[in-house]
Amino acid sequence: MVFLNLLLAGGLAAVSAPVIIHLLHKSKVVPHDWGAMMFLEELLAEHARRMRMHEILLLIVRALIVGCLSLALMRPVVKWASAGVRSPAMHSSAVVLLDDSYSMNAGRPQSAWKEAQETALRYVDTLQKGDDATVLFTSGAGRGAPPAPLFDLDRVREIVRTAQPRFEKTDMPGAISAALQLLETRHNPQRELVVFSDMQAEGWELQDGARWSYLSSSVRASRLKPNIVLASVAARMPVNAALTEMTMSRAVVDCYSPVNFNFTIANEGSEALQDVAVTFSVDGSPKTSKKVNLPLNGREVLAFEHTFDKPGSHYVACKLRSNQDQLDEDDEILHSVLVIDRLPVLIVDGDRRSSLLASASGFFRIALSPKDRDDPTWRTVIEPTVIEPTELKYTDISKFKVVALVNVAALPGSVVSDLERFVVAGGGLFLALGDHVQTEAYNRDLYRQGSGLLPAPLERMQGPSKDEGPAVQVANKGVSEDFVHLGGIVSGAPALDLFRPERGQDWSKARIRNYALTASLAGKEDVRTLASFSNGAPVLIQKKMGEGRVLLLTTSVDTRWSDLPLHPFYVPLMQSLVLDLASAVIPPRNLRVGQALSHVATGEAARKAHTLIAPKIEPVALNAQTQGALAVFTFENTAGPGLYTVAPEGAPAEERVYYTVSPDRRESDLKRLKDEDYKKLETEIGAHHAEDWSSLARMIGLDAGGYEISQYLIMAAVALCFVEIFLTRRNA
Amino acid sequence: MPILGQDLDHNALQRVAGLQLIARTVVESFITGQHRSVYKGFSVEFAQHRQYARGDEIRHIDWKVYGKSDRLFIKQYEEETNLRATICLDASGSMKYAGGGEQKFQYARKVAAALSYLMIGQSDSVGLVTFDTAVRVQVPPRSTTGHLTNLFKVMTATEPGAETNLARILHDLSGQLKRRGLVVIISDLFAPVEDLKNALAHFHHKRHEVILLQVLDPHEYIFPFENMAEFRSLERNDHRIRLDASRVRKHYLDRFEAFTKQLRETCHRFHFDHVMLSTDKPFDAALTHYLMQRQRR
Repeated sequence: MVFLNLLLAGGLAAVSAPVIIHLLHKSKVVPHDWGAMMFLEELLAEHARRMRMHEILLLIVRALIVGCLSLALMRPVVKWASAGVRSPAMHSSAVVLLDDSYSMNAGRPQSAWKEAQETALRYVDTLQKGDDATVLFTSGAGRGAPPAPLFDLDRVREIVRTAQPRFEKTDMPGAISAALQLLETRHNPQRELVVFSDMQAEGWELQDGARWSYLSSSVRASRLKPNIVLASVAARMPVNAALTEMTMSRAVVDCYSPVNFNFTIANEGSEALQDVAVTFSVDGSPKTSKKVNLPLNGREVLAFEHTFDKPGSHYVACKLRSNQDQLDEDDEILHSVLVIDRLPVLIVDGDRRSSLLASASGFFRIALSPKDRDDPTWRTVIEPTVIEPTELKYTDISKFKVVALVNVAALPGSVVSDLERFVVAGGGLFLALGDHVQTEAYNRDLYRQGSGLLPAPLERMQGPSKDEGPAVQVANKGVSEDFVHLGGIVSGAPALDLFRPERGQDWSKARIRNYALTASLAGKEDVRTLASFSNGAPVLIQKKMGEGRVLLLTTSVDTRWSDLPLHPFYVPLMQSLVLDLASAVIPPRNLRVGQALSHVATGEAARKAHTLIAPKIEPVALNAQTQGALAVFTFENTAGPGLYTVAPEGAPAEERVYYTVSPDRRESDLKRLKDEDYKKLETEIGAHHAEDWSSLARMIGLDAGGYEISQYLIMAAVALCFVEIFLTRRNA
Repeated sequence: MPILGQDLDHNALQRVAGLQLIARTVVESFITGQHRSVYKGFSVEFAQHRQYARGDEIRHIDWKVYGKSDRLFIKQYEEETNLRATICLDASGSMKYAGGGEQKFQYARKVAAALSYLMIGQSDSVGLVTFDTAVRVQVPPRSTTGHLTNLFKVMTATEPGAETNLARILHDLSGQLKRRGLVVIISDLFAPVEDLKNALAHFHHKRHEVILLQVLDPHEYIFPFENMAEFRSLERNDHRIRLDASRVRKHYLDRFEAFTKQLRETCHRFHFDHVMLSTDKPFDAALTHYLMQRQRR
């Protein structure tokens, strides 16, 4: 038996009221001296037992009256079948949780979504008048205000019929949690949560034990244990070819060098795929087509090289076609590319000298912008500008994409603040050390107990003093015992991909004599070591700060502390590091579904109206928010994936800015939950898997269940009142 | 046990004087109302006939003699001044009860005093027995005025106390009274009727005339109590009965009614008088009423 209104359980204490009254009544005994005891003795001998029985009976009847009323207020439900099954005599509160992830569009001729709709409608038909239902979607469950229960089942059907799959990431534990919370607020005694889904394994996060433990405890703590049924649709896994990933060979794309776009195509379905046509296009113009065969679970990376001829906003697209494919939503990848023709970099040289190579930043500057003697017109996109530290406070650093501090002793506070704002807004800061660096000043002004620019505090300088001469001279003498070498590269550092041993590069020959030892980085989420010396000490440490990043090189970029500049990898390494720091496109142009689109216009364009052209909707005039000389245009409704184009009114095509909105590519993996997964779900939250309608009908137990017995308790209380009156009168 | 002749203190003497005054007042008012008729009231032994004289009451004419001799004779009673009356005054604990009126014992004592006064005033011999568990004081019948004072002293000195065993006492007493006479039992008669019946049968067997004056408090035949009540025995300290008075009232009254009915039937069977005296009513009126009734018989 369960109680719908357990809060009133305290009312049961009232059962003791008749007993207490009886005892109080008994305790108020009036003494009488009495002579005619013989009559009372006879009375007692004859009637004592009967009177006591009558008294007890009356007491029981009165206690039962109070008890019945108290129990009735608690709304008890008697169940005679397994918990959670429905009874025709008991109203239900149901939550229909529809998986509206785009994987539900898979399936031919009927998609999983259509099947889920039909099954859900059939389920709604089983609800009765007085039952309430709520339709939740996995994409929106738990967001916004919780929906009210609907007693109008036609309205429920309409919601189910008109819904469409969306492209948000599926979070099934979150959706189930939201559904359970909703059920807790409902008032009908029977609670049902039915999940209609293709049971795609992705999104269930069964490996996240903490979340499922929480859900498990939520179910256990439920006042009325809900009947959770996982109604799977589209039993057969569809055939699916999907484009799952795209990477670029360069972080910064310019209009001088070719760039490789690498697209991963994967077989995420149930059959091998033949002759899958893949087309690469740029700005809507097809460039290359390829055909691939993909075995079951096969995966292939297709590289398409392209050189942009004009700076500005471009987009590339890769689209596949296959007759076998049964899911269209993952057949295309769009990517917005910002092509630049110049990358201004500000180099602050802390030891600038008349001789370029004698300066601290000499080699670095040359590496960023080398000259080709044979081809004077050849140039890189990087345009370095070298200044001294004293000039920094008079320089507008916002014109630069990257600022490099090379062997700068210390910086005044105002300059540090400007640099922090610069990085937070998306700029890149490169810190190269040297013999002029004042450790204390760096730790105090730049590290600022972890909140400043310096990724890690400098503990001490390692290596001999500068009196021994430049490291490169010492190294050439063959004395190598005091040197360390470049060591391991941390995976996931795109700027260093080129220098991995598997790419044929060997940077371990470089010798470093002097370097800074930094404190441990443990526990700092925004700081990570990208590479280390051969002795394990960090050589490159990156810190994410706001929209920008700071990169610390714990040695120098000249020859005083190491022979790095003498090695062939020096030039591409320095360029790669700088380009990586400059790769942030702010605001971002490749967005996830649901992520707000922001467009910043400057100069003349800031004063113009802007229009957004988005997929499947009419062009939208964007509202501008002016921030000084800037105008920020925002568009929130990016629920549909595709190409979004923002253009000033009347502007030529080259002034258009392309944004792409992509769904979560993990939805392409159509693998289903396995039997052991269902067992785990049953163990964790008591969910039962219904493979078809008949098993679903059985699990919701249309012909068994329990009964709310409040009305009978009230009737019993009334009947007992009559019994009490009868007993009292008979006694009187 | 108080004995006859025990010294009484001043207060006791005052109480005796008071009792005497009460008795005299009652009896004289009775006599004033009834003239001489009371003199024949308790005479039971026939002596002789004498010829009717003017002024004699017609009802004392012996019509049988008139039938035989055609002459009017008046019955005369030889022992009319030698009646032996024994007043049995119940001094048990139950007589201490005073609920809706005067204490039952005080009431009974006044009745006993009045009767003693009345009978000694008629030159009858009056004895007194006070008892509870056993006989406390037994005063043999005398007819002198000084004896009356003794009776009053004994009555005054007696206070109700212990448990009663009425039937056994009466039974013993009936054995002790050698000469037949009048036995007046003043008591609440709270004893099993069957036991009383045996005792009264003994009196009847010895040809005593018995008058049972049952003294009751109104609460004893109304039972006006409500709610939970603890009834503490006036005879036994450790005896208590706790019950819901309102619930048992009906049963109590039924039993009381049955007891009274049985008692009345028993008395009727033996031709004994049974008079119920309620302490909330003046005892003199009740006594007068009874005596007048008796005189009319």
